[in-house]
Amino acid sequence: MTATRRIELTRPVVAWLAVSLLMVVLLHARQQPLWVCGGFLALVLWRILHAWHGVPLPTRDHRILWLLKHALAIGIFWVVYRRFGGVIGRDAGISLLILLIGLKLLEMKSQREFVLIALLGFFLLVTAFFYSQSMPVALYALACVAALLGSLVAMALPARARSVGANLRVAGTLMLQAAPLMLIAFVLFPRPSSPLWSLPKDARRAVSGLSEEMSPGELTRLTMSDAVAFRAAFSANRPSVAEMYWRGPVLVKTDGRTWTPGEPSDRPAPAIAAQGVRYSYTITLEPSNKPWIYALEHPSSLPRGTRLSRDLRVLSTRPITERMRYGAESYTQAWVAEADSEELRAALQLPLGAFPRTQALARLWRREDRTDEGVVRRALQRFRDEPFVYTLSPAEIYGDPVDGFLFGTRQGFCEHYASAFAVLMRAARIPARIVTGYQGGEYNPVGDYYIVRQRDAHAWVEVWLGRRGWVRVDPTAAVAPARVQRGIDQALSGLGTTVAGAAADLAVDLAAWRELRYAYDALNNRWNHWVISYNARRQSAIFDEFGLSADWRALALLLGAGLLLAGALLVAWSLRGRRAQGDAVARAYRRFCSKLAKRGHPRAPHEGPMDYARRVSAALPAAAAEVARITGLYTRARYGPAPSGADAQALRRAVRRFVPR
Amino acid sequence: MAAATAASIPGRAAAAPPARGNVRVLPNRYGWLMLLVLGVMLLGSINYNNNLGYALTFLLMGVWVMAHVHGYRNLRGIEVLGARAAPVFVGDEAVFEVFLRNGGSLAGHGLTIAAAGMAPTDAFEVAAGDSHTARLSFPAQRRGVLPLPPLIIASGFPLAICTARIGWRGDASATIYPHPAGALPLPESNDPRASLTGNTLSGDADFAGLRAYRTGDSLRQIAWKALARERGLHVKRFAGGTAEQTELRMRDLNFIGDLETQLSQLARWIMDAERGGISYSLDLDQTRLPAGLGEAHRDRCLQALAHYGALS
Repeated sequence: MTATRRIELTRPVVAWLAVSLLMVVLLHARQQPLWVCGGFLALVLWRILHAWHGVPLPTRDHRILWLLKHALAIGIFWVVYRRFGGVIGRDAGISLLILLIGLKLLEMKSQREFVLIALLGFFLLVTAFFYSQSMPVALYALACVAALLGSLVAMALPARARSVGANLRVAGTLMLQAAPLMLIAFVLFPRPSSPLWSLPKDARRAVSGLSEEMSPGELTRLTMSDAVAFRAAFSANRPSVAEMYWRGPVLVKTDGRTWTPGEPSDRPAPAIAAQGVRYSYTITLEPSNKPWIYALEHPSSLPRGTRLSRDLRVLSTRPITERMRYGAESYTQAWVAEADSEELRAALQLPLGAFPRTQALARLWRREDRTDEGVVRRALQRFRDEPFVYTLSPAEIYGDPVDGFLFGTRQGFCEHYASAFAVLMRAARIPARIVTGYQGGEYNPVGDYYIVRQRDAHAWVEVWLGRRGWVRVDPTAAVAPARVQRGIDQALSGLGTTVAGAAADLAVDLAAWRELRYAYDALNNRWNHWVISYNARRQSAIFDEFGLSADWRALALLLGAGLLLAGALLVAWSLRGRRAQGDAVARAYRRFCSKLAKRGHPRAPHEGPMDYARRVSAALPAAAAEVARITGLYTRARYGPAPSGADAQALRRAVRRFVPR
Repeated sequence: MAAATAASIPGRAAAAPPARGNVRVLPNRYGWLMLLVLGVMLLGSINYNNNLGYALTFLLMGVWVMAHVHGYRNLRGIEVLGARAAPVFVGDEAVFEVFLRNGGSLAGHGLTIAAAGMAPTDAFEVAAGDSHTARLSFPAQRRGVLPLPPLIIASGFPLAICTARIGWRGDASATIYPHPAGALPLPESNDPRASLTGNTLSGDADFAGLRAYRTGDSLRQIAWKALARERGLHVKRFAGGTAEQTELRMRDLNFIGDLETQLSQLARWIMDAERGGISYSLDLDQTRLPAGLGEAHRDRCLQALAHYGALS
């Protein structure tokens, strides 16, 4: 309705936006290629140089620069297309967004472009959460929001743009007041259980973790990763670390190098004969993008929506793309004495003509020892007696991988031992299969749970011993008992092996540091539990507790009601101001005026309190002292440098007692 | 010319009741744009099931709402006490002074005042309990009365995504005098003695010196002797009020074009007579103003011209 005035973007205002955007882009620096971030920085610097030193911007007045800008825009599209093979994917889209914001910054002339860029900044910020939703990222994002809001405040009040603190205070106040609304909406907003549309291919970032394939070096690579696989909290009893075998993919087929799972079976899981202590625990599994979850060997009770496969893995119906929390129960001492001939035949398969020396050795043992247990013992004995070394960086094996390991290098990691052991068993006609998973875990005394990291990845063997069924044999334990008993850190440091970040591990040994790390991990666990993995299921769980059903209609209703209520409270609270007191002062003074008006001396509309007091005092000398006192109190309460409640109260009292004569 | 008259004439201060408590806050186009962006962010969060995305989106939605509350709060204490403008001539700028006070307990930030269709003033700030005088200029295009159009006090505080407005309609107005123009010399004095004695003046006026000739000076006043001595064109000045008197009559001007031209000529004469120290009376057929001299008289006469033909 009113003609808008062109608001000039002053230097401080431009600086506000530039700094805020740099803060946001910094969050993307880890995922984005260097040239994207560098390019953005260059564009920002260009804009800053323009604001401070008048370096020309690529407008139509500067034909060459103008052409350069368009060339840049086309170039950006081309490079992103070449680099990512398209502009639609997530990473490519973000690269484009960053660079186009940079270009837009060069075009920014008016309030309109400024607001648009700031809003794009918010959008860019939210895309950072695709990569990480950790606590530090969230805190940093809050700072970015404050900076971007501060930029908007600076633009709305260019005269005050320089006062960083004042603008941030306005932004902070807005954010604090918005927090209750955010909380209500966060808890009550109905979470759909499936995406609205299909996600771009690169939406699910490849995460490190166990796969359904094992070849030499596979687990070694995982061992370099400190990433958390899952956290496990035991409710009452907890097993020793040596008993903690978290079962993952079971590998049956081999070509001599690589192990892969057997044919999927739709037969029901074998019966598990449980014995000893039952452990119940809760696992918070990090997203693995794999359709299985981990449980302690062997589970007796499983979370809903999962089933036990024939080879005793816990399968989920869908890949685990989000952090998942589930409860399970297991017996560490249990046996499985059920297998059909087909399974056993598969567990004897060996590639033709491979590992001749290993096969010869196994056949020798077989001849000398009638019982399967005897052969197993001999094999383990060999690992113990011969100079085998447990190491992350084994010497290169030439030729046959198993023969080369058993009779040559004798250096290996758990996958080498497991695969050599399984081959030995099969060659001795003992059905054997490799089980991969995690072994052990680091206890966090602060949060009272175990952290199982990728580097706890392990491979062991199960052999079929007739009546005893599938029996777990861990050949690594024969070589490096510490690995199983005390965990991988001790096992490797005891052997003097160099692990990436060994120097850091030295520092880690400091008790205080360790304590801090545990506390942080515990905090992280809470954060993951309450914030990141809050989903439709948890939503309905909360509703169940209040005896409500969490269908979307109820949620929407509650959401609306909650937001309205909170909004009304917030509005009322933020509008209350110091208004009440001001009104009381004004009311008291009005009463004073009306008392005088009744005596025939009404206050003229133009008359200030002092003029009025002078006139009234002249007309009513008897009341002069009281009039002067009341006027003094009023002006102090109303216009004084620091109006106090005491003044207002004194004024009210004086007016009440005032009788003009 | 406007400045010469403006300072002395008290304007009409509007006595409209202070406008307060009728603050309207509405999202502006940036506000709608922000909602659109937030909508896209929400869709993305839903699709990727990203909880921090949800959190950020909801936080910004909360900020969006609270910005409107702050916008309301920012203007709540602002009241318009009144406005006034000094009279000006057609063709000048009528400057309205608008008096604002902040009766609230919070400062009013980034305020602008605008009349409908006009560019707003520069942003200003009014601290709590403070006052502010804003100046709004309007081109004076037509003779008569220029009413102050309805005003809108607006602010984009705090995030420029919403605009808080107070509307104010005061009855302040500016008097617009006709533009002084016309080449006719001041009419001859109608004093019978003066007309008889030609260029001699009445005895009770004392010669007070010469001053440079200006357009419109009466021929009778020209110092011919000075001109003959090649000292340039000067006019004689006389002290003693009633020395010269002239009558400015509208009906004498019937022959020069339309009404506005006649009024312009009369305004020209009034200014000339004032400058020449010639006391003058004004005869507008219906309205007659007795002879006089001085600013008050001049303003009365000019106002009579300004309101000439108006219904009131």
